[in-house]
Amino acid sequence: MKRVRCLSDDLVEVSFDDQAATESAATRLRRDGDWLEVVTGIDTLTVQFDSLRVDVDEALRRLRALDDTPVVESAPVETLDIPVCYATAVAPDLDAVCETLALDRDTFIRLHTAARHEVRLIGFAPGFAYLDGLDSRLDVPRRAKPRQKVSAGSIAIAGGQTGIYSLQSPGGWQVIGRTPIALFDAHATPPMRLVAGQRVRFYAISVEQFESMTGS
Amino acid sequence: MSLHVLKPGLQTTVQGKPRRGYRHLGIPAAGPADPLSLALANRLLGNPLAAPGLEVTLSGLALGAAAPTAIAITGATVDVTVNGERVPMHVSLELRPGDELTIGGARSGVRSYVAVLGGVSGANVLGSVSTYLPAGFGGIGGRALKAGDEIETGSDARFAGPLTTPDSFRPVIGGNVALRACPIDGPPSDAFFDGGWQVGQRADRMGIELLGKPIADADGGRLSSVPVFPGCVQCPPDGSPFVLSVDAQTTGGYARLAQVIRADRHLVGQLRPGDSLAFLQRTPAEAVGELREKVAYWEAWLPGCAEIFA
Repeated sequence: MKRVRCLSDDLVEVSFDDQAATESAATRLRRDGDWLEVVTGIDTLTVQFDSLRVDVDEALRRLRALDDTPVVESAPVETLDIPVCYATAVAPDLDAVCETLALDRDTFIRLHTAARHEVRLIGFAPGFAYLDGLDSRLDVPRRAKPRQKVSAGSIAIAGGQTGIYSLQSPGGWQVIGRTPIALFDAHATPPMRLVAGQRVRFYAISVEQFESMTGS
Repeated sequence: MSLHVLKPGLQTTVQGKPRRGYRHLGIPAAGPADPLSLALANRLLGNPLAAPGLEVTLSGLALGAAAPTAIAITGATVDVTVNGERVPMHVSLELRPGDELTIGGARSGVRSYVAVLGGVSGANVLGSVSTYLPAGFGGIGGRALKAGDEIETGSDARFAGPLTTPDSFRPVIGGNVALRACPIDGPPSDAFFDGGWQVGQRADRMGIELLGKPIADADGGRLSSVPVFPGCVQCPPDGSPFVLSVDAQTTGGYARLAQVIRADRHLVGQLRPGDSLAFLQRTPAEAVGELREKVAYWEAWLPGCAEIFA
């Protein structure tokens, strides 16, 4: 059952029972092209509209009638394999994380690369992707003090999830590696290579491989 | 090149129209924190209302003219000089090569705006040249201006003669501010809407801390991440709310107390530590009516101004 409510003169929130319905509804709304922003959170989405052109009641009516049955092609079924360098130079929190978890580095990398991850949500920071599927043995909290700058391509964990910083941004997750591939290109359409529902697998690369792939 | 940067000031960035339609990728709108003031500056030069200009934060900027151009300064109250002589805000001024423009510290409000004839050029990223500092894109190198930077402008614009903002269209900036807002989630809204608030020291383009009687039980437990927008008043478990501004993150997990209505969001960008602040409760329907009133008022001086109230 979805619930629709008005947050202000130009924002309406729609809550759903699950993420699949949320993302399906969001995909349809973005195709409409009538909305300024369609942003999803956990089991909820918010639509921003031009309140001088679209009446609040009209927006509510259209969103109540919204179809949230699955959009078949909304998420690529193919798994994206993402190379990750787990060397200390690009993984500033990995040693501390291994110590917290009482794991050696090789075991950590084995567990992180073996898991089947799936993009749950894009948001918070520019190009930041939240991924489900982290091995439950790798559950650590966020850093006590967030960093002002986390490098683009950083792979991080916190709260039982993996996060990917597609762009440089501030952030508080524990950085355990970095990918050399560009996941965000402002001049591409769409600019972001990851979408909600995308399946992801990580594979480990050496520093030399990282350097040779950077910028490619 | 028409201008070069002699002194960059605390944080001066290129800001133009907001970056729309990418919040679902985590990309905030950016753009001027006070879009009304940028529009007023552009108006004096005949630029489009959202043409990119310079947003100057709190402290001084000095620019040198390298070619004939014209500028106008609006927003936070500042002292402006050309070649050491005081000149007023809210007028368009011609600059000749070699002229030196300075902008002093803000006496009320936070951000002043420098519009330049033809608009300032910058890197267009996702349809906007507005600078977004946390990710380092847009504007000039995705960063705040540095001494020695060269500022390019649109070349074919002609100065149409001096203009002054009429008194009735000069916003009062700073001091006591009232923001109209729609309540979102508990607590009992009286605690928030009746409270007298003060702007705290933590204030930037992402959000502004509010000081007052802490809101009790704002966060009944761990909340899931939900979309948030500029103008959202969030409240962490410590009970001290903050209001989000133009660079706000796109999702957040704190309780949302209220959403500042579209008509009043431009005021958030001038909130200065120490200002007193009150929130006035509105329904979404009332908020639309008040937006129409505000747009109708400003149309008389800023034709097409609806887009700047976003």
